[in-house]
Amino acid sequence: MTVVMEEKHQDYQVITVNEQRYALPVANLVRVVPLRQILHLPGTPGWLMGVVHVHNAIVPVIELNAMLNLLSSDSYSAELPLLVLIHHPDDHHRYLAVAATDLADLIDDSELAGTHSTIHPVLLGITEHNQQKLHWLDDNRLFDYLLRESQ
Amino acid sequence: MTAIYTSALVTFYEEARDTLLQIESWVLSLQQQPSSGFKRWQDICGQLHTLKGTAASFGNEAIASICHAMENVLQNPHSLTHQEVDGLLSAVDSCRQCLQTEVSDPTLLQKVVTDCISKLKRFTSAYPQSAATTLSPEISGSLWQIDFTPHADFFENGHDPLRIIKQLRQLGTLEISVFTDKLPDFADFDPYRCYLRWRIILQADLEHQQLAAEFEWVKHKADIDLQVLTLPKQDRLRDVRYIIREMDLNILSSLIEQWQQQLDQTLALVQRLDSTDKIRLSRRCHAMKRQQQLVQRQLINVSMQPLAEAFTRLPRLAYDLGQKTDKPVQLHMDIAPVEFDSQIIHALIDPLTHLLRNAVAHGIEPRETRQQSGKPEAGQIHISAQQIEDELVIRFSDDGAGLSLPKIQQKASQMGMDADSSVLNETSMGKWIFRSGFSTAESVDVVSGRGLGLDVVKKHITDLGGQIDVISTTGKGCCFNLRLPVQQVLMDVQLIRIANQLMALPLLNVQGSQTLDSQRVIWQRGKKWFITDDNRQIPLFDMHKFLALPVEVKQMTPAVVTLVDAGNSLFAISAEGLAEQTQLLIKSLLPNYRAVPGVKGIAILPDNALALLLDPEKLLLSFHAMETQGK
Repeated sequence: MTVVMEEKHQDYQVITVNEQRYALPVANLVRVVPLRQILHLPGTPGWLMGVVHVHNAIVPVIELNAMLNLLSSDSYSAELPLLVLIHHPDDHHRYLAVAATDLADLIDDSELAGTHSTIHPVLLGITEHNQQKLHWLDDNRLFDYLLRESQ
Repeated sequence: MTAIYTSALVTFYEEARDTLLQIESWVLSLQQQPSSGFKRWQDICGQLHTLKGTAASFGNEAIASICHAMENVLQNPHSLTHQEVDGLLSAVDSCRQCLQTEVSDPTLLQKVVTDCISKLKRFTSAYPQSAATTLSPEISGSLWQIDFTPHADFFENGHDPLRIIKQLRQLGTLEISVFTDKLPDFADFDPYRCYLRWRIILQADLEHQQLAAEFEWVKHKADIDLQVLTLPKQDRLRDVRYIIREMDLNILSSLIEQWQQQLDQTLALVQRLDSTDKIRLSRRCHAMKRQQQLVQRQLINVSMQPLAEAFTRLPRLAYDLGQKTDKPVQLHMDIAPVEFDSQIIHALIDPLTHLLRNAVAHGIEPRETRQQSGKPEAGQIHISAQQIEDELVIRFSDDGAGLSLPKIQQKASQMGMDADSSVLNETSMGKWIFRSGFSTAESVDVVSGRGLGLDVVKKHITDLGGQIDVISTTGKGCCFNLRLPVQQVLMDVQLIRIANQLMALPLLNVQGSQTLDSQRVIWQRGKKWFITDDNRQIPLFDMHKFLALPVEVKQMTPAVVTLVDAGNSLFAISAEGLAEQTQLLIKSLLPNYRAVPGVKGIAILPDNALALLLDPEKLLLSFHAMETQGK
């Protein structure tokens, strides 16, 4: 898939999920809370860890490495102590949560300029940042994928 | 200002608003049922009188004066004229203005009161002015103001004001003010005469008769005025829990979440202490945890509101719109007595208001047209709202002219409808009228602005994850159907334990539970299991399969069988144990996720943990599907 980026600056929060790094638009971040009391839903994909009750709503929790098939042999069982809650870019009453190991840098999208090849529909692209691979997430498509691919 | 007075003042404001709403609803109902009964008339007069008394007690003379003028209009039961209805409704509005704390301009307020009273006085000339009124002996209160002014010769028969105050103290909490303004100079002081008077605030649930009895022996030797400042809790028209604002609710929810997180962290730290400190602190932490859970449950109640709250303003709006457009309207509402998430209730108010404005401005025809069509003079608008399964279904219909197909076709063509391929009909017009900027109005009018504006209504409904559609028949009327997912309800459930986790079943669907060592017979036919109950063969399903649990968990031994009624069928599920029957807050997976087969929603347990709320009918379908797939 090929995506041409628009000239529109946006800040991104880098999060780590085990050994992988992801960039999420800061504008859509709601809060970061400890991950606890997650409820697994029967008959749902493996990358959907379950749901939590946060921000007065039932919110699905995504394991990004599993969703993007980036699992290493030991990562699936590793600890993901944080929950990064984001809202839909066009609907501030719709939420999803991403399980994370830690929060890292705050960066802007100038490093995402140009054309990027991606390996997954929810990614805007993949770049090298601080000599590590960084996955830029498209939050709009992440919300779409959550509903479409979990049928 | 003392705490007790401040609390009473807040209660006065709440009750005054509720009383005004009651009076307004009653006046509007007289339009449809002119003879609503003498008893109801008396009740309303009683409420008005109480409002007058309490307003005066709190120094709100404006409301007291308006209420007095309203009492004069309502002194003798009679059929209210349109002018009287209009005057009384204006008076209700004026009282509401007086209750608004932000109204700080006394001149403006005085003008409002003067205009209102002079308007009401026009209707009172036919009736004698009310005499000084007294409280009904049946009236009850929980906070009383007693003005006790003994006559100068009070002591002559051996009466003692202190004895009366001591007796009052046995009834409840007192706040006493003594007034010494009549006390003479020492040279003129006569120890046999009483110069003092008292104002006593008594906090006690009492009937007027009970309180008056305390003054029975001295009533001929003193001036006694008993006023209710606050009605007893059971008489309050609306519980205080509903006045919390949405923003405050979200802040409270976040605070409780943080509170819970901090407590959990503290409990973890306590485990590291030495044994003595650990025991002491653990007890304290667990006590705080229980308090946090209690507050959380209270918050759940606060976040729910009666569905009727969303419709409260509509009768008055229908009346006002009818007056403005000279189209009389009769509004019929059938609202189910259920409670929903306050977010839904608040979000419904605007679209409902919009639909009503549209119905009166564009749907209901002028009187003459309606008469020529053989319709009743007053436009009929029906609104029903009920919960059907997981949806709130609102039907909003009028018996007006219906949507104008030619006008909609013309406008749709202007907006780009393909003239060759599209012949607009009563079904397909729905997709056009909800489009942004769609309006068939030729000019701006005072009631509904530029026209339908149904895109706004649709946006409100879709923002809530709902749908709206319309059915219109030319000359007969228009019906809007709104369907909204219910995201939060309180439900009685039976908790069961399966594979070390709790699950909830709607109590309505639970027929009973039995331990597996009882006389029930469990048997197998092919791959299917059954139990025999009252000579019925009931299929028994394995919840472990539904939950797709790992093998080691599947080997847990079931101890209980629960019979579940799935509408037309009965089935049984096995569980490791039964937990309590309780009422829990249920939240929907929508709009953040999709519906999951066999799952009705997510139950929030008292410790804030989550449990699946099973949907018996869909669970049965899932079991059948698994059997078909050979699982």
